[in-house]
Amino acid sequence: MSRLKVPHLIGVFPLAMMSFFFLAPLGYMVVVSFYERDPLGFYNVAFIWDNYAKFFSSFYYTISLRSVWSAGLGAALVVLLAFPAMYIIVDMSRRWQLFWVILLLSLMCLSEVILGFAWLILLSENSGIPKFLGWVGLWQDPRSLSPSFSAMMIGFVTLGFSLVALMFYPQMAQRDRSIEEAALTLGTPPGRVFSKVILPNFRTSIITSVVTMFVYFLGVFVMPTMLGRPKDWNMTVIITDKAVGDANMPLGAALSVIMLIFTLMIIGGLILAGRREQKA
Amino acid sequence: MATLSLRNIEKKFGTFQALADVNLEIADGEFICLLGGSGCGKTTLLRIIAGLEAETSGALQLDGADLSAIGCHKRNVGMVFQSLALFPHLNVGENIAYGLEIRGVAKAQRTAKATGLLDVVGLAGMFDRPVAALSGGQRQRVAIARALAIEPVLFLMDEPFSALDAGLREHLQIEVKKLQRKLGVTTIFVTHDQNEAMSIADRIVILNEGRIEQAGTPTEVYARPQTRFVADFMGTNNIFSPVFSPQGEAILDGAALGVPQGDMAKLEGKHCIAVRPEYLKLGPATKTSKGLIGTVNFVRLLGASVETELAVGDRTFVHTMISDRPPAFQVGEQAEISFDLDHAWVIPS
Repeated sequence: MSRLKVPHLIGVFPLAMMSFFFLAPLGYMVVVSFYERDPLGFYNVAFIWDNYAKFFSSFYYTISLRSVWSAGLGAALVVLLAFPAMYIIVDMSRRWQLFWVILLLSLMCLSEVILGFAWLILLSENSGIPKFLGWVGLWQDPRSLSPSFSAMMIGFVTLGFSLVALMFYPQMAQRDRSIEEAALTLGTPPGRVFSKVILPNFRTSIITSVVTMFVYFLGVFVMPTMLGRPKDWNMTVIITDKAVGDANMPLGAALSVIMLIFTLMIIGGLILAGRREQKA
Repeated sequence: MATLSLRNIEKKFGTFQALADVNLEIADGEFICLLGGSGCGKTTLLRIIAGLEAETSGALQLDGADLSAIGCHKRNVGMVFQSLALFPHLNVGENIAYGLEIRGVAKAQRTAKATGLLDVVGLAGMFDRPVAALSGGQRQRVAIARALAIEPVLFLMDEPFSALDAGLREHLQIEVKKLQRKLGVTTIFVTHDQNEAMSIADRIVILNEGRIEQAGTPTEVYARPQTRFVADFMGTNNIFSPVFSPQGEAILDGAALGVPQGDMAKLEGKHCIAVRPEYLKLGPATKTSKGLIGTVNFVRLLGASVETELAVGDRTFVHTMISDRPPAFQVGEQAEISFDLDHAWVIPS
């Protein structure tokens, strides 16, 4: 075997893995999205656009916009909280930094179901935060705080916080602090150094984190179903509902394809914007 | 007018004493170099002056006013950092104009000022260039221009040229010195390179373990180091302790070094003295030689000069001469070492 062929052969392995675990199921899903629903069974082989046409109804529009809103808000909230938190953590002593990193890693290891269930208990009327607030006299008429949009947002933040914080950690810890000192010597009041220098320097990382979390929250299933009301459910929950609950696999597949295209458009738009900025 | 006065400055980091009893008066328009090895406290002192660190005790006065009470951002001090600390999210012009923007200067004025400073530092036409697209030397110039844009009362530089190659470093040293003379701004420059300090400073302040060892003009600290540390730090010096006999003769290991004149003539007993390598003379060692006999153990060419290292017992002597002729002695050969005691000086014990 020619030695030159070896690098090409190495590339076959990831290609095979990608094809087996991602491209093949995706291709199959695209094919199924054109099939016809069989009310008595799984589906009938056909080539129809009806499943895609259904998306263009007010019901799915509303759900799509709701998904974008909840994922966008969740992504913004989680970055808004994790970025300053990590900014504070990296300036702590090594011992405290280690403590926080281990804590965040532990949080990341917990499954979505456990986190959702923990919040379900904490927000419940009988054994959680409302009861405590009632007991200390801060809430006269305590009632359960879930399911609600806010509870779902809390779930989103819990889910994404450790991930985002740990994404920022290496960059934050290794940042050149003399840039902040330079800003000070040039007359920037200490309170404005964060907004004038730190935030602009981390702009790309912040945007990347927001987009990553946005895409991630578009696809979460457990938190909306556990902590959100039916009217807060996102497209992922609806797809599952249609595909599994209504046994309408072709519609579920079509909605998934639309979601995938939407996600790819966001990522593509971001890459394009990044390239334009680099050229400028 | 910017006269800086440091009185009994002390700085502790926990139990570590970074600075102790630092007293220094810096005149308006003076170019001071803080010189010393790693961990001697020179950067800490600069950071205290800038307001980036607070002194543990002591007084810091600028034109008679207490500087300690003023926050870093209000001191109007221009600082060039070792890492340069240019803002990566701003282009060259915006970096230079940043301090003016903070001060509320109108855009047209700050653009004009930044453009003018770019001309001064030799970067005309680079206003819109991203800082990432600049070379090391260009970045240095931007950092200098940014610090000067705010018309600082003090211009501080923390080893700004340490990462540059020798040629560019020398070029920038000359440029900075010229610029400082032109602007007349009081400048404090931190370096660990004695050649750099010698070439640009009006006065060199040598620090060791948080204390000032000696402060003086480059000529003073080079020609007459007051302590053994300074003598060692300011380039290779031959430091040894001969015995001065009651007859006035200096004797080292039984070898006669001659009879000193002047202040040294009054010495009696053992005293530490130093002689610069360029004042040593080497001659052929003969059986009748009564002077110091050394064995050459190393010869190296240093561009304009040749350095010869000789071992005399467990002592080492270093001789330098202009490299206009081949070295007179090769490794392993013996040579008689002599020098004029008038060129030696006593290092206070």
